[in-house]
Amino acid sequence: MTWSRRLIIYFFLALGTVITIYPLLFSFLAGFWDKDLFGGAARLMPIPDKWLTTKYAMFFGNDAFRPFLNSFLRVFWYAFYITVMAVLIGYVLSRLRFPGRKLFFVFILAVQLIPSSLMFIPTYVEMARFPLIGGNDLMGQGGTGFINHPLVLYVMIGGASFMWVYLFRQAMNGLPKDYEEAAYIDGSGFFRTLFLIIVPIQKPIIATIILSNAIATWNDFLTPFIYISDQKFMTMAGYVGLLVSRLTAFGSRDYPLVFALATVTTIPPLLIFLFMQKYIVQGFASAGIKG
Amino acid sequence: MKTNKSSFLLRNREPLLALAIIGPFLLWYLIINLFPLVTGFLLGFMEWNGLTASPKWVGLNNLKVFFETPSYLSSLWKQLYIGLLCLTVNVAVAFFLALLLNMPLRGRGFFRSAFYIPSITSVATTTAVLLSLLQPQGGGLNGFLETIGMNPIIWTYSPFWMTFWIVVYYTWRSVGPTAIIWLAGLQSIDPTLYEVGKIDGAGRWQLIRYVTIPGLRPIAAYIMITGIIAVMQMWDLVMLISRGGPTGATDVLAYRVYRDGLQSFNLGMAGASSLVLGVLTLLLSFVYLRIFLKGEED
Repeated sequence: MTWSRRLIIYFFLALGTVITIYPLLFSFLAGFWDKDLFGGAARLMPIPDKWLTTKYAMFFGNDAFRPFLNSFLRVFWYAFYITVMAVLIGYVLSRLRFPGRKLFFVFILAVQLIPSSLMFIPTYVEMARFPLIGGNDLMGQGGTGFINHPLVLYVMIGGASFMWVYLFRQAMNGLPKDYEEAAYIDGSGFFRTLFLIIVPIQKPIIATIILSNAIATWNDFLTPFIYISDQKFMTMAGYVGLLVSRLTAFGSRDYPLVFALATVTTIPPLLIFLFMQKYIVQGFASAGIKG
Repeated sequence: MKTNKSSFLLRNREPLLALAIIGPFLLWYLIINLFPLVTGFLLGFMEWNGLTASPKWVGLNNLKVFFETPSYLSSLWKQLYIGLLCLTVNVAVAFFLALLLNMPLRGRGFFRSAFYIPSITSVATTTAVLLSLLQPQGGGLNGFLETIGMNPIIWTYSPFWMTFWIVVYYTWRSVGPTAIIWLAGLQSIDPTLYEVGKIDGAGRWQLIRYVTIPGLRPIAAYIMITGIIAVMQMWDLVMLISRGGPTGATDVLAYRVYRDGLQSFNLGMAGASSLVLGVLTLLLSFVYLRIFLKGEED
């Protein structure tokens, strides 16, 4: 490759990098502004004239800390649930023989294709009319069900999550049975073998499942945005989404506050990505190749 | 008796174990999803405000209203063209990036990571930057235009520019992962095929035509189908960036479903719209698969 071609390629790559990183930098800087000053700033790169930490401090002060904790709880729950589901069912599908195995495998592929737009409104109705929750009677009448109920952020599970089952099953199918058979001969049981032999071997794919679901759950703002109105039960992404949706609707526009909270919200997934990107990027690519 | 029972357990050890493990997960999935799936198909044929009164069967009436009301049809059209615009631009830019990242260069890993970063941020946090930049007064973009001596643009009043920024935002956020998949596809092509082609005297374009493109088919199908599914139900970023405006110019159908269903409690029309969207999504995916599989045969 000639040096001039190399230069052109680097130019495009560098330009792309500037564009991808720019909004994060903008958000970080704009969080240091005063609301009124920022309103007239009109800068592409909002380097503050005066660095104010009041907006960032508000994260610890009033409303934002609780949503931050809720986000963590929700991330732990879904990363745990989906990973356990993927490992257990993926292992069963790959190794056990049972009637209906083929059918269940087709089921796993089919549920991933159901358009979520079709399920959106009926799911809301079901949540609102869920029996014996949130003041509802056995017929689902009388209360508000899961709407604005703290558990609503933990009970929902979509067909897309079966992608991870599929991925783990594929990983198991690519692994010879020799290790397990040696363990079985030594008298190790089903779960013992799974946790002591299989899980350590499949660590990379398990890391992919945990991290990808953690980031996706952390960033999901629609579920809390739609189902939660009480600040106590809100998550961070939902809270920021709510503030952003108000930016276009109401008069008072505290952009710096939104940017400070948005920046804080971006830090956890960014840290996960920077330190564990190998698992996230490769896992994502392999999902594409195998799917 | 006891020996019988234990021999039954022994004989059916694997099916029972499978049932015990799959059962609870499957049951929970069905509890949450079976009702919405069935109702998803039925809701479009009912009239219901979802609160107190029971749903009333109205047959094809909702669908009739849908196809006779210009605003619904234009929302459907907007979902299609804004969606396909997002998809096309994203896929094309991602392919270009993948070609660059596939070259033997220093620092490829760094650029690959950098392009991936937008996709790990939440739509909620990064749309705010765009909103701030597009503000007519005190917004960063107009400030920039003024410093270089151009007239400011009232972005939010322009259907063209709001569509443009939605496409830009969508591409910004999705291009990294799509490029990674393209890249995986490029790297999965057996390099000996290129060697053989070169020996047979194929030029660069012939190599692309007869080696690269056929080798990328499965990946292209994956990217297009997941992409179609994504853009056909996209409304979150539309809600945050433009609220469907100006004057409904970016009011995609999926956003309308949200407003019909959860703000006006017109569940019947929301159901009918979702049905149209859902069926169309499946149809588009099948058409794409069909074309793609046909290409495979020759």
